[in-house]
Amino acid sequence: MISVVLCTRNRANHLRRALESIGNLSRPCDLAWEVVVVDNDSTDDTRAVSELFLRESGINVTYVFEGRRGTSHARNAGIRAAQGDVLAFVDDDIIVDPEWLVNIVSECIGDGTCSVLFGQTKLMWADQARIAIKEEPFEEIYVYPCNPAAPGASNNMVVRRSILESVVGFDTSLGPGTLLRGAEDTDFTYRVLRSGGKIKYCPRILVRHNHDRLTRRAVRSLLLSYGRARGGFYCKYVLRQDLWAAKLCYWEIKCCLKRLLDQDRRRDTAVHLIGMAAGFVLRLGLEVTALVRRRPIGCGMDTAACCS
Amino acid sequence: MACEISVIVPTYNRARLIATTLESIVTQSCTPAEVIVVDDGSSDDTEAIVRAFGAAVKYIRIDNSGPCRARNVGVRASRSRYITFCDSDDVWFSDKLEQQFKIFEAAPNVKFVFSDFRIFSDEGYSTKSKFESLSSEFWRGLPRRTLSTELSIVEAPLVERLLWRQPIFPSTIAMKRSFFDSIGGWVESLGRTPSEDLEFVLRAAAHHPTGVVSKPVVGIRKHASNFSGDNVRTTLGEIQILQYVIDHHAPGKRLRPLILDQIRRRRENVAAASFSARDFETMRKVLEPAPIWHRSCRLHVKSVVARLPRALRNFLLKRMVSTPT
Repeated sequence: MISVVLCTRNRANHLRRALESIGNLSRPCDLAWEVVVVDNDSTDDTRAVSELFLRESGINVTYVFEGRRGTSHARNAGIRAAQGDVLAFVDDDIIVDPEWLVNIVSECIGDGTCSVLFGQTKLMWADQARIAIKEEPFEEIYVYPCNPAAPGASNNMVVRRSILESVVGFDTSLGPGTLLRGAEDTDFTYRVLRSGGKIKYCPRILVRHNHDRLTRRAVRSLLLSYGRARGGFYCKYVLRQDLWAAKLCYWEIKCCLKRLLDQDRRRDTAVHLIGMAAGFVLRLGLEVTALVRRRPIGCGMDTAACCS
Repeated sequence: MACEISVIVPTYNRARLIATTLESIVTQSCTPAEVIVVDDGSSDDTEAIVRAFGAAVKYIRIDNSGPCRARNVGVRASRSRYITFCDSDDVWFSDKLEQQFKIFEAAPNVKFVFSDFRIFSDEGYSTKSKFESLSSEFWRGLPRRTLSTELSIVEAPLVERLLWRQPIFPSTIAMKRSFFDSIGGWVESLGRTPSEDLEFVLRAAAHHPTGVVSKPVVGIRKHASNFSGDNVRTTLGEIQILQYVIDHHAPGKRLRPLILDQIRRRRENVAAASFSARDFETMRKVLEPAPIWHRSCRLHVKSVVARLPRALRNFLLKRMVSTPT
C-alpha cells in the first residue's frame, strides 16, 4: 500500500490545487493507496478543503491535525498516521503529474534495493524564479559519501517504511516553521546515507512546483532561509565531530566564495553565505542552551536514534 | 444559463477578425463565467475592438512571445473550474459551450472534451465536417459510452490514433483546470513552431476519459496567412514537435516506434514535395538527420540528384524530367 503524505499550513488555496491534481492521477491497478493530509496548526479552511476533496473524489483521505508547528512535526505525524509500506511525501504547493503514482509503483516494484527515491521537480510556469527545482533527465544513484542535498528535496520524496526502523523520522529542530527554516530533508537524506541506505533519483516521478515568490525580494528571503537551514545542518553535524559534514561545509563555502566573483550570481551567493553564517550561529546557540538546560533539542520521533 | 467555464482567446494582430470571434463567444446559449483575451503584443487596434465589448471581456496585454505563452497567461488569470480556448480567427456556433458543459456535468471524471468542426474561408463553409471526412477507422475499437446522439465519452487514451489523424484543434478543446495544471500547460518554448498545438494535444490525449461532441459546433478559419497555410512548413513543424515529444515525454515502448514512424513518413513527404518544387536546400536539410535505411529507392535517387553539383543537376533534370509547370 502507498500513502501519499501531504503537509500543509494555512494555504488552503494551494492545497485545493494540489489535491485536485492528486484526484487526476492515473490509478495503478490492483494497488491500494491513500492520501494523508497533515494540517500543521492551520487557522484557515484547510480542514474543509480536505473534507470536500474526500467527498468529491472518493479517494481514501485521512485528515490529521498536528498542533506543534514545523514541517518535521507534521511529517512525523503523517508517518504515524499512514498505513502504507511506501510513503510518498509532497508539499502543498506542488502539482503532481498524472503518471506520478503509476511511476512510483513501477519504480518500487522494479528496484527493491533503494530505500529512498527522489523525483523530478519542474517549475509550473516558465517565468517563475528557478528555485527548489531538479530537472536532470537521467537517473542517478547516491550512496555515502556524497552531498545529501544533491538527490532532491522533500517536496517529491518516496520513502520505504523499512528504512524508518533505522532512520527514525524527521529532526524537529530543523525544517520550515522552526528557527532554522529548512534542511529537514537534507538531514533525513544524510542519516539515510550514513546508515548505509541507497538513494535513487528517478526523473519520471514528476511534480511541478507552483511557488508564488514573484518579486526579487521574496526570492532573496527564501534563499536566505535556505542558507540558514544549510548552516544549521552543518553545525549540527560538525559539533558531533562528523568529518564528512565538515568537508561538505568547507567545499560549499569554497564554492560560494568562487561564485562571488561571478557578476550575475554575486548577490544571491552573498545572501546564501550570510544565511549560512546566521544558521551556524543560531544552531550553536540552540546547542549551548540545550547543554545548559540538559534537555535534548528537537529530534525525530525517537531522540536517541537521530542525534547519534 | 451560465456555466463555470473561462474562455481564453490568444490573439496577435487580428483586429479585423476578432470582433466576430468574440461576438460568437459572448452570445453563447450558455454564458461563460469569463472571457479573457490575451493580446500577444499586437500593433493594430485590437485593444480598442476588445475594449468595446465592455466588462464582458477581460483584456490582458503581454509582450509578443507566441500563442503558447499567451494561452498560459490567460489560464493563470482565469478563475473557473473549467477552461476552454478559442483562437482569434475561429468562431463558435451558439451551443458549443452548452454541449461541452453537458458532458462535464454528466461525467465529472472527464478530463477534457473536444468537438467536431467545420472549416470555413471567405467563400463559406466546407460541405463536410471534420468528423465526416475522418475515416471510420479512427473510431474503430474505441471503448465509447454514449450519452446522447451527439455526446459520448471515450474510455481509452486517443494518443496513438492522433499520430495518424489529428482532429483535435485548440478552439475545440475544453478541459478541467486541474487537469491542465496536472499535465503542465502549454510548452512556451514551442510558441513559434508551426502546429505547436500538436504537442499539447498529444500530452493531454495520453489520458482518459475524454468527452466527444460529434456535431460541428466550431468553425475553423482557413486563410493564406494562417500558420497552417503552407504545407511544407506545417509538416516541418510537426517533425520538430514529434522530435520534442520523443525527447521530453518519455513515450512508452508501444508509442515510441509509432512516433518514429510518423517522423519518417513526414520527412519523406517533405522531401518529395520539396524535390518537386526544386527546393533542394530544404530537401537536404530534412533528410540529413534521418537514418539512410529510412529512405525508399525513389527517395535515394532523388537525394543523390539533390547532392549533385548545380550545373550537372540542372542539365540532368532538363534532359530527363519534364519541368513542372
